[in-house]
Amino acid sequence: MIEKTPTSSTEEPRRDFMTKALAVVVGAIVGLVPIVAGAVTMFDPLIKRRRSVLGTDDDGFLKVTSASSLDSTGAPRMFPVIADLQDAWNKFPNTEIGSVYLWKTSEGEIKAFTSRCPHLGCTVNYKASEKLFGCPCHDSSFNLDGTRNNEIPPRGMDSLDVKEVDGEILVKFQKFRAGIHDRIPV
Amino acid sequence: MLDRLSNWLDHRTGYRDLMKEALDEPIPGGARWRYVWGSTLVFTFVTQVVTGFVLWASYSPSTRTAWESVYFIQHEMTLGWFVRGIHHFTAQAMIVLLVFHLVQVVIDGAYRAPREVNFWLGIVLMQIVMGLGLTGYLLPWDQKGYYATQVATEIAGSVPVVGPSIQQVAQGGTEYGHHTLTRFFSLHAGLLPALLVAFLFLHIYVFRRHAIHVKDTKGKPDAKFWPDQILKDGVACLAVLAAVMGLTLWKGAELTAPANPAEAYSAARPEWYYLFLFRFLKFEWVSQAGEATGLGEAFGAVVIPGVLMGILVLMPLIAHIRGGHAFNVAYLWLMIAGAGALTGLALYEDWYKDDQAGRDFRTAFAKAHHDGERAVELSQSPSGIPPEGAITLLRTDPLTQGPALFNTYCIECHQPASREGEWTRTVEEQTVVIPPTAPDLADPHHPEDVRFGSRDWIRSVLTDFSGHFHSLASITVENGASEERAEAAAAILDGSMASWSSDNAGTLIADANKADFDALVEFLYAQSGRKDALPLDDDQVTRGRAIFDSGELTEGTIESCTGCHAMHAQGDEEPLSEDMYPILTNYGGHDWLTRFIADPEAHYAGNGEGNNAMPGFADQLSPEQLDLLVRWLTGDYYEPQSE
Repeated sequence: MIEKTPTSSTEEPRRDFMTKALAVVVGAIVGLVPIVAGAVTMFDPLIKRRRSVLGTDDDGFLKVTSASSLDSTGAPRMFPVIADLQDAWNKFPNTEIGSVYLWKTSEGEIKAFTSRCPHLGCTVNYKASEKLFGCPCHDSSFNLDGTRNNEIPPRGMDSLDVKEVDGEILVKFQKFRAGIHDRIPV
Repeated sequence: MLDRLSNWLDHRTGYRDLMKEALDEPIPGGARWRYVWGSTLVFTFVTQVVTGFVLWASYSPSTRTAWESVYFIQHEMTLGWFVRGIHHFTAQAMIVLLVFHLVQVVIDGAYRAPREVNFWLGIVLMQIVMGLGLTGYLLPWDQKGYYATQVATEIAGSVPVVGPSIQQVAQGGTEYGHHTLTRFFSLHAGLLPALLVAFLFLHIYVFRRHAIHVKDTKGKPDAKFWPDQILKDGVACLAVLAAVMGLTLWKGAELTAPANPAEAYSAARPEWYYLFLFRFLKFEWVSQAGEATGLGEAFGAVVIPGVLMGILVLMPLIAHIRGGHAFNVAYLWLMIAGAGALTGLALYEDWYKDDQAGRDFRTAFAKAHHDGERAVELSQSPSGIPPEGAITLLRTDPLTQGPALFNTYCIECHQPASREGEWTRTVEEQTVVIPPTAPDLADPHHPEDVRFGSRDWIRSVLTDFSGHFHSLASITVENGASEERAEAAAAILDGSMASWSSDNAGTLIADANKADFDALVEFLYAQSGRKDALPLDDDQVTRGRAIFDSGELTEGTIESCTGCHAMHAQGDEEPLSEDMYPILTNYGGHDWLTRFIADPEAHYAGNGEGNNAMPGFADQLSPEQLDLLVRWLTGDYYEPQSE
């Protein structure tokens, strides 16, 4: 199977070593250039941060609905969040970027929660009969004030900053890292 | 520790034997440069797999996202241009290296028994690589790839009986669309690379079975693949990589304008390594032979190349005949020389030959290049790429569409001064040069440089009216104009503005009045609202306004403009003058020009009393087209901020 072939290595071990070293260096260069360049391009999302939501006000608030639409029931309702979206090469005007729960408490305070479950990012439902938020994925459950109703999620629902300007409800729509105890914006 | 680990691994896998088998391949007569081609091909293929995967991860195959995602790779992503450039030029390097490899194999006689099968496997690999080049060329969905690939699929469609079916399957329908891209992409990134890997494996397996073919050891000592031949192979790969990187840095992979089925691309050419076939199909006798044999285009594009390739396939058998090897070598060189000559001819005709076709190609190429740059500029503009895709950016861009509309509707009368004589018509079988019959407004070949409404234009109208409008003298009945138009033209040249100009030019251009003349021009220029006009409250503009109204200059007076023209100066509450024609309100601006082009007579001389020699275009141009044309002529389009 293994043939014995005469080599120059016994006669000129130094030259042979140089050849090997050089071959390794040259091989590394030709192999690494495409791989490293390709890796840099693959890691582009880590290198360049691209703002994706456009049309917020200076503090990052987006118009979600009119204040009057919160007057009626006092129960949380889900509202779509619409904004101009820069998605890689495309600019999508007025497109859906997420959803929020909004309602006015009996004290007149406006509450806003993102609908993303802090457990692992599914969209949370509101169960009116139980007055609870529940996640359809892993059964995370939350009270009306956003606190945990069971130990599945690592933290309560993520509330969002909300303000009322000229009869419009504006929400600072943010995404937070899921699955950890602390609330860290993405 | 490391020893024990490697012993364990070897016991379980036998990797040392494999390594030994791979690396200790004996090379009788020692390592040589002529053996490097196969290795460079493996290297280029691996490079294509690596860069191709990265491109794949950012590419989106559909007619509204392909160009856009490639634009994003090329212009937005970190080193995207580099990865794409490497992929683009390595693809071309593979073709060159394939030819080198083939030549080396044939002249060394390495295709002879017992290596026939491996030669055929190599030819299969060559077809796969050419297929990869062909399918990859379309993927950016730019004008260049779109129109070049159309030719390829039409060739497939020209094959008798099964051709149309093959074409439709390849295209995913009778026309190019989303499915053309998804299909080409699945071939390019899926089936063809998989086949290439499979055949490459067989190729190398059979190669190792018969060992390297050595023509002549020349008495030199033997060597092993590792490290002697590997070093030579590595250096050759390094040279290939250097060339590819050099081309990437120097030229870069081009991205022309987004594919547009409605916009002719007169510079359509296949990738350079298909140029020989492209040029071959241009010979009239090829088409005639196709006609005579009933094979049509398939004769020149499929049958002839198929026969030539068939002879290549038969080489190992031909070699059994006496003199067969010499024939094979001669045949290969002849093919290469023929392809080279045709390629050279095609390049010469396109780039150097001074005839109409050559000039047209170069003009079209320059325009395509310009459109490509413009599409990128617009994609990077604040408005960005809309969901309908980048194709709409050029369609709604005045700088792109304005010159095209001008070329269609305006240029025969408004000939650019530098290109007079280019337009002809046939009268009684004689070619007659059409004289310009209206002033030079702009040259679509230099779209950023519009003369109409510029400060120089205004100066010229004021001080040299007859000279400025001299081409109107060619609007005569003998030249085919109606009597009304001929009269109107004569009236303009003989009219009150002509005499105003000759009476007052001297005063305007007097040295003492230089600042006043500039002010008057600036005032008129500012009426257009163009981007580079001085603000309306600038001293120069207000001074010009006073002169326009009173006619009083530092030295002497001119007849007041408000004596004849209606003018409601921009920013004024009250008009300076009313109900007189031609109206100068917003002169050279969007509203003025839009109304002027739509109906010159109504705008220029009031309803029904028109005396303008220009026809109205309200019926010919849609409101959108008119708007694009006007916005181009008035400089109202996106320009990137220079840093």
